Amino acid sequence: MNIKKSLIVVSALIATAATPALCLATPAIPGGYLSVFLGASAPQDADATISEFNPVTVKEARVESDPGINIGGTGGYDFGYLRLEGEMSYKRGELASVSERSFGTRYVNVDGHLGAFALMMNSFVDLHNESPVTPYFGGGIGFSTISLSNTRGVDANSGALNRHIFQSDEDNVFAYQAGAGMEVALNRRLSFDLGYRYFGTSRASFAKDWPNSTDLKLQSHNAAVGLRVKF
Amino acid sequence: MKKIRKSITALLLTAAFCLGLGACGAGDEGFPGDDGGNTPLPTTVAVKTGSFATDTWGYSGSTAVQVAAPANTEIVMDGHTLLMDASRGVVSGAISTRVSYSSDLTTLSAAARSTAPANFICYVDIAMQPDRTDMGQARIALPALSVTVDVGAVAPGQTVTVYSYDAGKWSEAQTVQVNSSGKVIFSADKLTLWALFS
Repeated sequence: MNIKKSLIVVSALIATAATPALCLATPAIPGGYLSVFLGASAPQDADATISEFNPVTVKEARVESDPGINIGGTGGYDFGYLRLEGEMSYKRGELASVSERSFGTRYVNVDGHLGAFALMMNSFVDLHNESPVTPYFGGGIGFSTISLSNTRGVDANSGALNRHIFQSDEDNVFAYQAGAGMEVALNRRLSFDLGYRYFGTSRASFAKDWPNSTDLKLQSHNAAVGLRVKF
Repeated sequence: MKKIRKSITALLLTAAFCLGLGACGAGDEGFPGDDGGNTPLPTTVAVKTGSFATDTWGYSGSTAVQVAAPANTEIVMDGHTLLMDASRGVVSGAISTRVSYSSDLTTLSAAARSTAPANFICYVDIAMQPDRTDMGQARIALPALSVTVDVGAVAPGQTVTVYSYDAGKWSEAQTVQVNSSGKVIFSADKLTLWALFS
């Protein structure tokens, strides 16, 4: 009940704050800004190569994930029609299934996750217009620490419980993203940011030592709602 | 009289010394068959040990594995065999194997012996233990192992019944015909004690 009341109050405050924006266009005014965002990350199916060292075997597996959290913040400078920013974010997908192709092994009820802590340099082009809504598009490059948790699951064919589908490890890799969104001005300083980003990395290698190594690329669709403050 | 006493005392001491030495020798023998050989043992149980490995998903390599077994038995594990413990947890890493064979019923445990069906021929006891301590003993092989046993006196063409002994109970598994070489081939999906009865 209290949560409902809080939501109503927050909604009312946002609506009040946004009212002036409906009457104002967002002019291209240069200046710095900070933002925070929160949303969901949906990793794409990843093709993992698992190299076993004893006995020597190579497995090709498809790793499917359920959506997880996408959270982060940016700080940058708005040149008017072009923004340059630094971004720090964390994305995470919950592993849902792992399917090996050669022998048809398929793990379900998988418990594990794939995370990405990223530091990116982004550039976005703002398409200012007469409305308070400013569409934008752009992208960025950077580095990401990809983490793969110790993963367990049940073999759908045999009912076997494998507590070590993947060993816990992390790797630092090149990362890139591209996306678009729209900034909805609440007033001259405060705005909402509704954005989509396609995020990808180069191939990460996990547990490179005994008894096996796993290599995969992380690619994900990410949606977020953010709050941006200009100063 | 004193000489006789001394002689008896000396004899007793000598005997005690010899017994002591004998006992020390027995202690050094260790578990029969641990040397990895096929030497028939005083208990008439032949034991052979070996090892192989399964990957992190619990599967053996792509080629078939010949499990170390005593002379009158042959155990073959297909390529890509999955090993599981009693709770169906995957068993991975280095696996130590121990296969025992005997045609002497008295070498079985009292519980197994007392409940065994009639007309016992021989048994093969298959045990596989991972080196990792966070996993249980392997109890299930998928697909089943192929076990070949030389049944000796049983004539070719006759049938024998294969039983497994697990959790204190004998279970009939299959009936198999003795082939022209005097051998019986059966599938063992459980890594446990298997016995043949005519």
